[in-house]
Amino acid sequence: MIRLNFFLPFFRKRKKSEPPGRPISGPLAAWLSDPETGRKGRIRKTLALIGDTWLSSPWRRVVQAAFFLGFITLFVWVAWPYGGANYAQHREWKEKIAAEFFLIIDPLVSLSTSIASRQWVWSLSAAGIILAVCLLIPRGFCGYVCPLGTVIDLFDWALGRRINRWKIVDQNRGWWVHLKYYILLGCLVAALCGVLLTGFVAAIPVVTRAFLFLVKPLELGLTKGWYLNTGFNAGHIISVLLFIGILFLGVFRRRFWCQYVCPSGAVFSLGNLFRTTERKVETSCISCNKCVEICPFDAIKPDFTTRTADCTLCQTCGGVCPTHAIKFVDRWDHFKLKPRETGVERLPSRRAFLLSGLAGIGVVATKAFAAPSNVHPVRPPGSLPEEEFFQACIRCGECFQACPNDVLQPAGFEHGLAGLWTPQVNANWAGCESSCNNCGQVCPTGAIRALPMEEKRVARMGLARVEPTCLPLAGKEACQLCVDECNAAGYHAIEFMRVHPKLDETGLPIDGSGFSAPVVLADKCVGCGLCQTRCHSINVKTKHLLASSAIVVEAGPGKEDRMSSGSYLALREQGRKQNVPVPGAADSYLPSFLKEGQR
Amino acid sequence: MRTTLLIVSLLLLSWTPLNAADKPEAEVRALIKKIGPTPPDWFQATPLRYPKTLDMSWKDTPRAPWDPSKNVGQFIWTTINENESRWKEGIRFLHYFLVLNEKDPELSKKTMKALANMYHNLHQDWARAAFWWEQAGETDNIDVAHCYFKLGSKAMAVRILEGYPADYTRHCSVARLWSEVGENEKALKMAVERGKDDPHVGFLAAGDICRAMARSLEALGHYQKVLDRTTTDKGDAKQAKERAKASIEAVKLVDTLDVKRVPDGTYRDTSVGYSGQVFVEVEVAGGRISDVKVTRHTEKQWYSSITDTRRQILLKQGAKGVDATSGATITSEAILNATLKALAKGQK
Repeated sequence: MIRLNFFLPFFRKRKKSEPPGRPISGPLAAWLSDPETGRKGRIRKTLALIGDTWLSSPWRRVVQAAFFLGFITLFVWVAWPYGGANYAQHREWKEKIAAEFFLIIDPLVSLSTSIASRQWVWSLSAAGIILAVCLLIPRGFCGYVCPLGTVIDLFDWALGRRINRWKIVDQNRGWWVHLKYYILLGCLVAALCGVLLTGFVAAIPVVTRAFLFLVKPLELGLTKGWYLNTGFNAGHIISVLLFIGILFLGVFRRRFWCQYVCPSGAVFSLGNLFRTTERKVETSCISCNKCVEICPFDAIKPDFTTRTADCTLCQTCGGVCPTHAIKFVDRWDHFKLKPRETGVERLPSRRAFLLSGLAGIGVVATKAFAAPSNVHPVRPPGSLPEEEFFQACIRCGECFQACPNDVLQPAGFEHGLAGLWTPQVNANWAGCESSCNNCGQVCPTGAIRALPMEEKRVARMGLARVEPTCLPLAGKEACQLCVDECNAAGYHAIEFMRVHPKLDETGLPIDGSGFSAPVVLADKCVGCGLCQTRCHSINVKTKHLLASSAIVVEAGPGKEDRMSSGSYLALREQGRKQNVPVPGAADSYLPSFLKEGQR
Repeated sequence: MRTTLLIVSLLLLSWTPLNAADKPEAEVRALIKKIGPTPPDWFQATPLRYPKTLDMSWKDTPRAPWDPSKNVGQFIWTTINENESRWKEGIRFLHYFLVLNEKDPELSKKTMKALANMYHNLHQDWARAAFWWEQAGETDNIDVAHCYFKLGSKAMAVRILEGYPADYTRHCSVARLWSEVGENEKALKMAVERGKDDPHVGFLAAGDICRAMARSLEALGHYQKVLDRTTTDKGDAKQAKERAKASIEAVKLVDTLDVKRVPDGTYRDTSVGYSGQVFVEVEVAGGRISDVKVTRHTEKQWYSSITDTRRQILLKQGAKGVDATSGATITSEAILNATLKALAKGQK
């Protein structure tokens, strides 16, 4: 028989019927509680000081804290590729850690992406594993793992509990209690029609973006310099407002979002149908109502039995129960159970399901979320073809965090609603580091393919174009910033052409006259944008010689490689074979008049 | 014991480059004859690439509009010469062009001169350059002399040089070659003489010659004369002035910088880094660089270079021997340059 009682198991007051145990002595005695009198030991006193939930179920809080620290570490430290003296070694080592861990275990992320793009998304397997774990600990993800849940807990503790004006009176369960199922259905229907909406509402993308737009600017500013922050656009503001809105749902009831709204939670709730363990109440229940009051998930009915779809097995009720009537055992254990009272439970409404399904279709029909065909933002290297990219990009923002110099920046509304939070290259800010392939490594859905370094280095994101304003090209002054930059990165994709020569009387060019202007070699340029960065930061921002960078990276048909599968190396090799110049006659070395002289 | 030392030092003396360079004329000529007609080892592997729009008759069209996609000479000048990655292709192309036009003696001669120039200027392939000069009938120009000297015969070079009583070449090549073969005084005299007519040519060469002899102060004087006495800004003059300025700065910075001659104090200067100006503050105390601070910068990555370059400057007490931090060359060099400029300001 399974028993999963891990709420404060080391303290239990002796029942009168039980024989007295061995008295505890020595240095430990002060720490443990007294089984005879029930007097709290130091451990329980300390826990009680922190809070009821810590006292009731400390293991859960410890696990929660550990996962939250893990989330922050992955976000702040692992996703940042630098650190340590040896960059390459450091990065290689970090590559083994999945910075996107929390995103791949949010089952809704991979599920909806998989449906929308009609492809196997590798992170589905990770989602499958967490769902399998949740057979044993139903909806345990929400109570123990989810960093958004932890942030909401912190908010509710710090602020939510102090605002009582809008608090919903306990046990009042309105239409909103099943909102999460409606949202889930709407998202899945839209995904079926090929539109991915999940990223706006799924738990981990929401919290990842919140960290990206709130915590990362602070972290960058405090540890590395405020000038490194890229500034805010509409996309940032919407995301932050959404997050604040989610937190402030706590003024209605604690963990309001998790209980009633979160579609990722709804997936786990549905998973709870297949639970193997559950919370049971024995006949020793004295109906004190303590469990109902403390339950953070509104998962206890008025008769103290369990709303099994909502219970996260957080066990706080178990710790608070004065008679130890609450057990966490296997589903089929019926030993000494408190009988269920018949009460009316609110059921999800058929009409609301119908409406949410229609809403999903309606959103698709507006075409507001279809990939726009007239604009061609420069996407990260290895991005899927644009239409598939829109179906796979969950807008979690992990690629922005992993991009070492913020080359990738979230789009606002410049490409419509559909483009919101999708990654695009801002080459004026920074160029794509030639020794980095982080964005593909951390993408949880494969919208950016996880390319090995040698593949990434040849995957074309765009093509650079020299503007007529280019200083040497316009005959103004010598400049070779872009060429130096390109060569330093190892691409050698820009060569020189001498322009504006001065001619002498005979029409021959005067040595050293004129300017060396850059010429982009289309078969070598990958569109990394380093050239544009350098031109912009020196010629535009530092020296004020130009109004905008004179070399710009552009994407679009023929300028980028967007493939859902296959090798970019092979593609370049193929191109090279097609472009082989006609070889000259093998003996075109000596003219015949010299050959005779040689014989 | 002493005799052994004497013999050893004599042996060492005989190994100095000048002595070793003097090969017999016959040997040099044999070398040219042997190597000259053979293709370089990379020749077959080099692709033949040129714009299909090129006019393969290479007509002299001095008054025609400048169009490197048609004119062979202009194509070489604008595209081949400009890009080291195309230098081998240039040779490949010119040989192809030579064979293509072998029936036309005038054009062949012109092509062979271009080949010789390319072997000499771009590839430093002295034997082949000399060979093609000779084939083109140019046996007394300065470049051939240079080839002979590089191939080991000072005597052959000097014989050609002596045919030039004064230096009227565009860049004072005669004087410069005199300096290179080791006749510095003769070279300097010739350059200064030229400077009387064309200060921007003569004194620039004089400065360079002095610099090669490690006579820094004298070099600075000649470079200054380039700036003071050049009245025009036309043609080469402007470039000569810029080069003189750059040389003055370089000589001051690297050769004459002595931290011991910089009074105690704090000196500031800037230089362009990766993404903007890098501001540096150098503290000097008791003839030593006591600290180098990067006070302001907007570099976005490779912070390591900031601490690493500072550490190296403090360790080496100057610029000599400071390596750029790998991967952060630009930032590193900017810090170094700004430090040197700041110190040069304070030096007495």
